[in-house]
Amino acid sequence: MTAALEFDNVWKTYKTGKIEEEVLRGVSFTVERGTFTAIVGPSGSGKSTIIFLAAGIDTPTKGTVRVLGEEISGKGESWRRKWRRRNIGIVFQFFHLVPTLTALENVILSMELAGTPGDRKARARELLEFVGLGGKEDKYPSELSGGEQQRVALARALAHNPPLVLADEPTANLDYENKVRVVKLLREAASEGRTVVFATHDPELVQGADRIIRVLDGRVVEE
Amino acid sequence: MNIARAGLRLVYKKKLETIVLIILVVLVVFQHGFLELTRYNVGYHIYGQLRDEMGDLALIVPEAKAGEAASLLEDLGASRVEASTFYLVKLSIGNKTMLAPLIALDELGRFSAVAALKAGSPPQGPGEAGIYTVVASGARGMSLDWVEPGMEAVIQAYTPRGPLSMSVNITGVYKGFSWAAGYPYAIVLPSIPEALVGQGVVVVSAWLDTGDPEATAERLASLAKERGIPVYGLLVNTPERNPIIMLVKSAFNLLSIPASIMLAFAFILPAAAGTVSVFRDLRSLAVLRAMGASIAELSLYYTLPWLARGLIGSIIAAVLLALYSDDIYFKVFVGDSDIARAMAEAYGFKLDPATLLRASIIALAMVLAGGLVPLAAASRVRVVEALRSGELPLAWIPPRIPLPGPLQLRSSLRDLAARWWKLAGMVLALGLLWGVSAALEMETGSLDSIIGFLEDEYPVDVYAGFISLAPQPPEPVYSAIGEIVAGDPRVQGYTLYYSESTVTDLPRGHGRVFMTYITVLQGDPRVGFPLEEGRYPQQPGEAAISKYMAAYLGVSLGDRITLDSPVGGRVELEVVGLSVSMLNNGFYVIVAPDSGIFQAEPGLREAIVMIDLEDGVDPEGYARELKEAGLPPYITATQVFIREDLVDSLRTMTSMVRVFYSGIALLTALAAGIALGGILMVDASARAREHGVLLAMGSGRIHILLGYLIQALASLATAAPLALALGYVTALATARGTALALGYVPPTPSVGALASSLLWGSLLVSLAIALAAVVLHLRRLRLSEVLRE
Ligand SMILES: Nc1ncnc2c1ncn2[C@@H]1O[C@H](COP(=O)(O)OP(=O)(O)OP(=O)(O)O)[C@@H](O)[C@H]1O
Ligand SMILES: [Mg+2]
Repeated sequence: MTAALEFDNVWKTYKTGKIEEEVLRGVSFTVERGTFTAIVGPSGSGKSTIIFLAAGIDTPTKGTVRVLGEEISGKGESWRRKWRRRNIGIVFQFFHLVPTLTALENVILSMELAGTPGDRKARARELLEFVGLGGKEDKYPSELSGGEQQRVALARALAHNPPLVLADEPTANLDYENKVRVVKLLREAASEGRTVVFATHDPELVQGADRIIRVLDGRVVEE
Repeated sequence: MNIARAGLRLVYKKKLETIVLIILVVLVVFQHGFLELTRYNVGYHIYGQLRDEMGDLALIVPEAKAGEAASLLEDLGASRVEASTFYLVKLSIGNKTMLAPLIALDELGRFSAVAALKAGSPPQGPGEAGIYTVVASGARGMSLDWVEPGMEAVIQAYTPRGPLSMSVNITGVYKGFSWAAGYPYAIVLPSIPEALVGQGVVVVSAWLDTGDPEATAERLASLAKERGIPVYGLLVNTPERNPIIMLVKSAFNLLSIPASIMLAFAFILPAAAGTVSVFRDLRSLAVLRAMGASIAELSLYYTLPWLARGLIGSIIAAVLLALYSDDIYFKVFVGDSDIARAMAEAYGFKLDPATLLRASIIALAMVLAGGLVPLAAASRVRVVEALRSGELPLAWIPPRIPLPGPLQLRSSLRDLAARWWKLAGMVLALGLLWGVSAALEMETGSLDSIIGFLEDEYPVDVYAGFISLAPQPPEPVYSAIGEIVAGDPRVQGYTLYYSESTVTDLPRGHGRVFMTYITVLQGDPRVGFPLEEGRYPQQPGEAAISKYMAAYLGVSLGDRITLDSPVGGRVELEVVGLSVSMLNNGFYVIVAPDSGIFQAEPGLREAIVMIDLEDGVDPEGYARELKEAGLPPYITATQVFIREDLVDSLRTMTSMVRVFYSGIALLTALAAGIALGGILMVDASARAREHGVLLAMGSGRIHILLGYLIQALASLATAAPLALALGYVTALATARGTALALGYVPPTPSVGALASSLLWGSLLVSLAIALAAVVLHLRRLRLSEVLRE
């Protein structure tokens, strides 16, 4: 069976004006299906960049990114976008909820885009209930606290049952109790045969991981 | 001070916003300035040309009194006096016969400084003649445009020594700007036949270096009376009293009033886009406020860049106007008419600095007013809340109505509700766009209703004017004509009347018009002047006026109006009736024959008849017959036309108006498109992260675009009442402004006008521009950047 995520000698350069910054310098690693994998490294080391590349939101300057056996790095933007709808669930470092949709609607949105069958509303309610947001379904993001928004983002990433869940600092804004819930949810998602890859600074979260990819200075230093 | 500098830096950092506002300001200032400059120049050309040819004052007297009239004018302080002699003759070319002034070739240059030989060669010996026609006299069948060299003409005159008739061959056609003794054409002979000398009318022109022409004219009239000089006409040439300038300027309002509304677009963009950026920057604003920046400093930051952009736009527009308005004027309004070219070249295209400045200042004031809106928004920033929230803050919490359809559309509508400034900006822009096309529709609707009235309701089939060539005809013209029409079984009814016209001040500050005073001498007044209310005048001091003029002046039955009388002085009249006729664009007053306000004896030398023919009678054939058959030898028809001529000339005008209106609609659509595009672009950049998330989740750009389309359509629906109100107000202002030139038909506020084809066309143009701006922005959106912060 193919791996969930494969980076093969991936380089990423950002250009600001004339200055080129090499953010990733030949990153290679493989994440097997069904695993709960952490990407760790100091701030600015390139964790978010890896997440964006894995989601097909960004493309590598050099090298290949393969997700679920599909080489997405060579595909066009429109293909990647449609592919993303069903195959990727993503939690952004800064949540990025749609401000004019309620918590419930934000969760339904990802199912709508993926074309998930069944009672979407019921599933969205269930997920929100599970992340501890029962009773807050009808609030707009601006009426929720940072931690609450983060949990809505997590529910949104899981709602359409994507085979690969990517999460950028999923527990950064949470108190202990909520962190436990979120970790549990992510863990369960991974054990259902789905793959979860997350970037984090949180040592507790790292400890629970099946696998740790350590990034330093644009390179994977240790697996 | 640093904040102000940072604000100015935005002018080049936010290049797209800068370019968009500059284009918008250039567009609105240029078109407004251009129309105003053109109006100014056309008026100036007409006045300059008329003054050159007619002087400040012109007195029309019998040839025998020309010398006396000239010395009278010299006594009154004229610095230069010149006389042109005309002989009124009956002219027949082909099957057309008309009254025409005859002039000697060497007079031609004197009375029309810009007369040009358009075809053929100058008449040389006896038996040769030239035709002179005035440029742009095509309306109402009064033109001799169709005459070509090689045609034969018959000239007939009636002199005390007996009738005179001569056949001539037309060798040349001249074109010019001046009317000849009140006619838009003349016949030109190498020299005047012996028998006519002494029988002409002389136009004595005087130029005054000092003194007011109007005051001098008043003294002239009374002195002429004292000395027994018969005055056939007295013309005063001032820019304010010039009926042609009044007409041209009034006709120009048809374009310039709807077009001026475009200036308001300069307000929308800074107001809406500026406010969007205030909310986009809310957090940094809040940080600045938290750090102690004052509202004055913040306002500089938001208002200065817009003002600077507006200033740049105004300057560019002024420079473009200075460089190109004369070229465009030549292309659009002069075209291939060499007479108009000769005029423009003789008198130049003046860049009136006041006009240039006015357009720029209005636009800048609009920009400034628009810039104050984001300032107000910035001053209301709630520091604590802005610092707490992570996403772009909502100004207002939209209701959580679960609208049907995809969530992205639901979210678009809520977004519009939450960001009132965007909604307001789009509603204003669309309302203006829509209002202008609704106004244009209502205006052309009024013109169509005049045509409809003439075609379906107004009874008159044939109009014919007659004049006596003899100063003292054996029988008054009106009774001679009355005998012809009254007994004719083909005539169902007729109105035989006499009229004189004069420039008058209207009551209650409604401006000046060229007013026609009418008195009905024979027949049924209801044919030419059907009554809508009241009765016809029975004694001096009473008047029936057109219902259009009554609406224009806001008078009704029983009211009194004061006007300038053709004999001089003011006359007070009680309105006893309202009639329906578009004669002289509705600016006419029907009075009793003995009202004492006419210069000449009504109907003695001139009369006009309006005829309602029995069904089945061919108006064209009847009109031809009326001109030729059965007239006493001393009477000739001046102008004869039928309903169709009138309808045709109105149709021609209406279609020209439509073309110009399409141009205005297109410009408005461009301005609206740029304004909308600017607003949406700034909005898209403010909502970049929101769009980034949607794209990251796999949603297409097309969905985001659809969201904006939904917002535009929702704004459009909201704009409908505004459009209707604005459209009606504009149409009303345009109708009033053009009353002199087109007649006053108040527009009816019709909801139907909102659905004009003009609207759909211009809407499509502006939406296409606006959505193109969003596409441009979305294409430049870098997901990995916007999602990282
Ligand atoms: N658009 C960009 N242009 C230039 N440099 C960029 C751009 N985006 C990211 N970088 C740089 O790339 C490097 C890696 O960024 P990335 O966001 O992946 O770090 P990270 O490991 O997620 O850090 P953190 O833990 O702080 O979130 C940083 O040094 C950042 O400055
Ligand atoms: Mg990061």
